[in-house]
Amino acid sequence: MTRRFLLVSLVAAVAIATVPVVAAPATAGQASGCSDRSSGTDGLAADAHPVVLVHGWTGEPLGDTRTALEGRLARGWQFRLFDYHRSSTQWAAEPAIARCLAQYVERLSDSHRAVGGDGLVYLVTHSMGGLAVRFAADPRYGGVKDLPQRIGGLVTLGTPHQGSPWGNSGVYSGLLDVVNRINFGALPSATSKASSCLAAHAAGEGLPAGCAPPPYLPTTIPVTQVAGAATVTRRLFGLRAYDISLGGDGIVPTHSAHGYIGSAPRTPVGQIVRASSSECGMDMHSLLALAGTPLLGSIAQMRIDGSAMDAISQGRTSPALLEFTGAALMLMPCGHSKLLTNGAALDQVAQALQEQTSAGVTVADLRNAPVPSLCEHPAGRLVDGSLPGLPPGSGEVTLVDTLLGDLDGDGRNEGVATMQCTYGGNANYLGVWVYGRGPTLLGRADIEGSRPIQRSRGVSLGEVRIVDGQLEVNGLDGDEDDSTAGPSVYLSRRFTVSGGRVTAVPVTAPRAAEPLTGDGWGSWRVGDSYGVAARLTGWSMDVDDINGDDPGGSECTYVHADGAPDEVFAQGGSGTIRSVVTHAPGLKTAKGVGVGSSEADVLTAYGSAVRRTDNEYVEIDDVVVEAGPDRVLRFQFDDEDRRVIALHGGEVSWAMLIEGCA
Amino acid sequence: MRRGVMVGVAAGVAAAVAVGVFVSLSGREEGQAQAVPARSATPVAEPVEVLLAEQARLLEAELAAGDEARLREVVVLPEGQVLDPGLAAGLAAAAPRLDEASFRTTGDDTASVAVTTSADAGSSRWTATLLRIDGQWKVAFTEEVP
Repeated sequence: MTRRFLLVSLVAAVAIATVPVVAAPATAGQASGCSDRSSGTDGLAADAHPVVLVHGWTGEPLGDTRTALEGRLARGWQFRLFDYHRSSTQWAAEPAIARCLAQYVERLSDSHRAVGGDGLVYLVTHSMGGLAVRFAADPRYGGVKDLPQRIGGLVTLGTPHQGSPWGNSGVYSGLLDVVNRINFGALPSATSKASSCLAAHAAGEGLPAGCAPPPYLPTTIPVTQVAGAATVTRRLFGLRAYDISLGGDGIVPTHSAHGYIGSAPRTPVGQIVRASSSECGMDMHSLLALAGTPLLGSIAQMRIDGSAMDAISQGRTSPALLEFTGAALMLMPCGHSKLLTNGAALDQVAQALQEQTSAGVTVADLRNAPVPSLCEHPAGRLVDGSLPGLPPGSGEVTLVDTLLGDLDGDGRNEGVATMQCTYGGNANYLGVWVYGRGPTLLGRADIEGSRPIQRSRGVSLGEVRIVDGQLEVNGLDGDEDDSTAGPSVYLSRRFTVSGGRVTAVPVTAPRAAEPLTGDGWGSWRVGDSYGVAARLTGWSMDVDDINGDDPGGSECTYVHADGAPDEVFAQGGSGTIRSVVTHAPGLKTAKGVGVGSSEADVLTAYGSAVRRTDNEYVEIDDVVVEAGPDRVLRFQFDDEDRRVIALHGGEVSWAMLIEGCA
Repeated sequence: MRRGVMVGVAAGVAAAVAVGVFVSLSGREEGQAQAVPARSATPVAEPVEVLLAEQARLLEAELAAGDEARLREVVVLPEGQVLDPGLAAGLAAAAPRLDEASFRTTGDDTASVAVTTSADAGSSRWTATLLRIDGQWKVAFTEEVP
């Protein structure tokens, strides 16, 4: 069919408004079921973002668009095509579209998670495909409860967020006659829900009965809207005479293609919503020559105050205007039908995808994040930092602090949320959770294994920070034996995110085979702070202030590690490990001398390096061996059998202490 | 109604609509173009329209007058359409020259003619589509000749 004939048909269809237009025959796929022509959901790579391309009304899978986007985006993306062409003349909210799309995205997300990805799916949509995503993400239409948590972002191309002047209007049948032939032919009837629900509206006002406004996506999902903005220029001998703006892409006015905000009641707050336009121009004569229009005279004399789409929406239609607009939407590079292959528009889509994936988690995300069951409260979703709906007096779940940083090395921020909960009025739980995009709860940063930090014991969470791409959580726990002594147990762990999960950075606890030296024992190092010691060893450091003062700042402490053997401990001062002491036989020096060794063994092993102590508090002489600058090994003997009863390694002045800080 | 049937109906009505539009544009009044006998020896001679030299010069003069009001007299324009302020001056500089020998009718009230503009103004060869409105040929569109 020639373009000329198409346009003639358009004009005719408008002119014969009294001629009934009958719905296309139902096809096999319209009644129920989802298309099997969508791309497979398997074969995904963990380190590439899944992107689903969703076509529009009367459209077909967007293979050409995929090819064009693949050429624009380097590695790290994997495209899939969602197909609903057999149902594409239905309205976006209907199950054959919304539910099928929701299920498809769910499967794709599951597949991505199964191979270690984050399970976030990005959607690039044309025309009604954008509305299909909005309906699909709402469980009332899509039927998948957690679908929003699986959507990383939405990019719409020429989507009528606020409808189109063609919808639910007398000129609709004329338009669809052209559009259907551009694509593949199916034609919803002029009285169908599909056409009536395309009506122009503002926040749903103006929609016919039975047409719900497309639901807003959760505010955690970024939305980028790309509009076509076509302008036709009338020229004479190459000189600009005047312009006619279409006011959009010929189907969708720019204000509607950019109209996500304002398209439904209750405007979302805090959502990242961007808009851009792909502008294009064409000489009027070239456009009409391409279209083969017979209405040259009429179009040359056609005057439009405002834009062409304004004129249509205001009912100022004419055969010339319809033909002109029809030619533009079909033939102009940013016309509705050409947007899918328009280079500038696709550049904007590619940029939007990159922005959406690099944006990462925001504080706003965390303030509205899903939370697990805490303090016997059910799992739920925070609203502005608090879990709503809890019975009065039952306690609360609240967000205490937030931190953002890249923990998996993909260039996007993960979010770290410190939350506390109370139950029945007792503050008793404090923890750190890590979130990926969505936000999706990736896991908890446990610093005490499975044991919660119990604030009721006076525990406080220490510094939570991101260091070298790792989350470091430090904690101070109370002394279980003496709740009046204040925090004294130092906890510290580092975490990374890998494969969408929170993973503790492996620690290396000192091993029995490692010798005690003047620098400590393995990773339990003299000179490290209690927190660093806890992090490196993986042990909690239980600090007892010998003098009963604040352990962290005291000049002399005993430090017992929860993973160390019995009778092995450290002495500390001013928050730092100063020496490691053992009374147990298992721990030995590098020369194999330890508790139970004879004095002769010590002298044999160390020979001329040995010197005797000159300690005013003891009656016996201990053996001391230099072990580096300001470091010694000290062998403490039983005064009767002269066997080693204690072995100290550390700073000179600390290893020489006999008891406590004396 | 099947789609094919509907298309057929649409096409038929469209043809009628299109004809109606052209009829309304033609006017059929006596104008500056003259009908002369065709050269063919057919029993019933069809009139062949020509653009007389004086008609061409008049169009050239009005196009290049540098005056928007005079320009509107010879260009098909929407009534009240605001024009680019530089158009009249630009056309004056371009100084279009019509080759009346190239004049060809392409429909009842449409024709084409070759036009040359000043080399100083850029491109120099054009095909102009003329529309006859109220019996007067006016410039509707121009297309650059490669």
